[in-house]
Amino acid sequence: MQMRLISQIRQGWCVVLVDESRIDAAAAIAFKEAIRRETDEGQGPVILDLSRVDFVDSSGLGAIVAAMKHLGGARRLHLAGLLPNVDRVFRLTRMDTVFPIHANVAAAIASDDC
Amino acid sequence: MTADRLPRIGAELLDPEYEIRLRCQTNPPDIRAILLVWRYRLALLEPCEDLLGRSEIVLAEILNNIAEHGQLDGQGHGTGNWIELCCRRSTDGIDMMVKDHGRALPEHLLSGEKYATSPLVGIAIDDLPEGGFGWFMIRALSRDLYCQQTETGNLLSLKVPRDHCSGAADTQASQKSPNPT
Repeated sequence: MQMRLISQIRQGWCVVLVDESRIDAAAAIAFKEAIRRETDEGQGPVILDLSRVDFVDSSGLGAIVAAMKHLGGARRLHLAGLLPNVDRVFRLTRMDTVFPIHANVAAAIASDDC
Repeated sequence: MTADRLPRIGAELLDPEYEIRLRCQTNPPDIRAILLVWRYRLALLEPCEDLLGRSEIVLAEILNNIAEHGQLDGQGHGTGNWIELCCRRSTDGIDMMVKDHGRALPEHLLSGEKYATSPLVGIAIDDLPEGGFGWFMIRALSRDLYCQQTETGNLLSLKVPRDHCSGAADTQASQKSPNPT
């Protein structure tokens, strides 16, 4: 399964847009591989733009946690643009206490919380 | 998504009490496809987007759990790995019934305290788990959870309540029942 990610650098941040509607059990492995490819050569904190993702299940959640661990302590993983049912999964599992969550990419960059 | 773009997989079951009756095999691509069909059809019956979203999380985690842990040894992708799903809208929520042909569900999933809180509570970031959230979310978002082991597998039923307080774990104790309805 393909996982389309689109990366750009904005003001020192690595911004990765997930151009898919779901990060679920069918896509979790592809997501983990794709996010590593997108971020391995970069520097600075990462913003994962989830504004096109309308569903994340526990496998997808695990894949995002794995991505955060892979980046290590020096590069924090921020989340932006969570749609309501994705936001619910992060808050229900208390992942909102682990990841900085922002309304959108611009708000993440404005937070200056590298 | 329009109806003619939906994947056409699985035959409908015959239980007339349920408005939506579907079946699929226990692999992630088919589970994703059946969830899309189910979501489309449920949205024709139920306008509340919040309830639809909670129901989708619960059903996805049930189906994923069956795919990950419920397959009988040696069955692989054989004909025994079918999941049957029935769903109906009621005044107080969405009722679901899921039949599988796999191993019995461990009792602690249904009755234990382990899934009463998020796996994250009390865990350092370096030790964050990358799984184990599925049953916690099922328990938090549903009630009236029953499971019965049948001759051919498991029969699980539950309700996703209409008046759920978002983000709060449901405190009603789950239990096993000899006569799930």
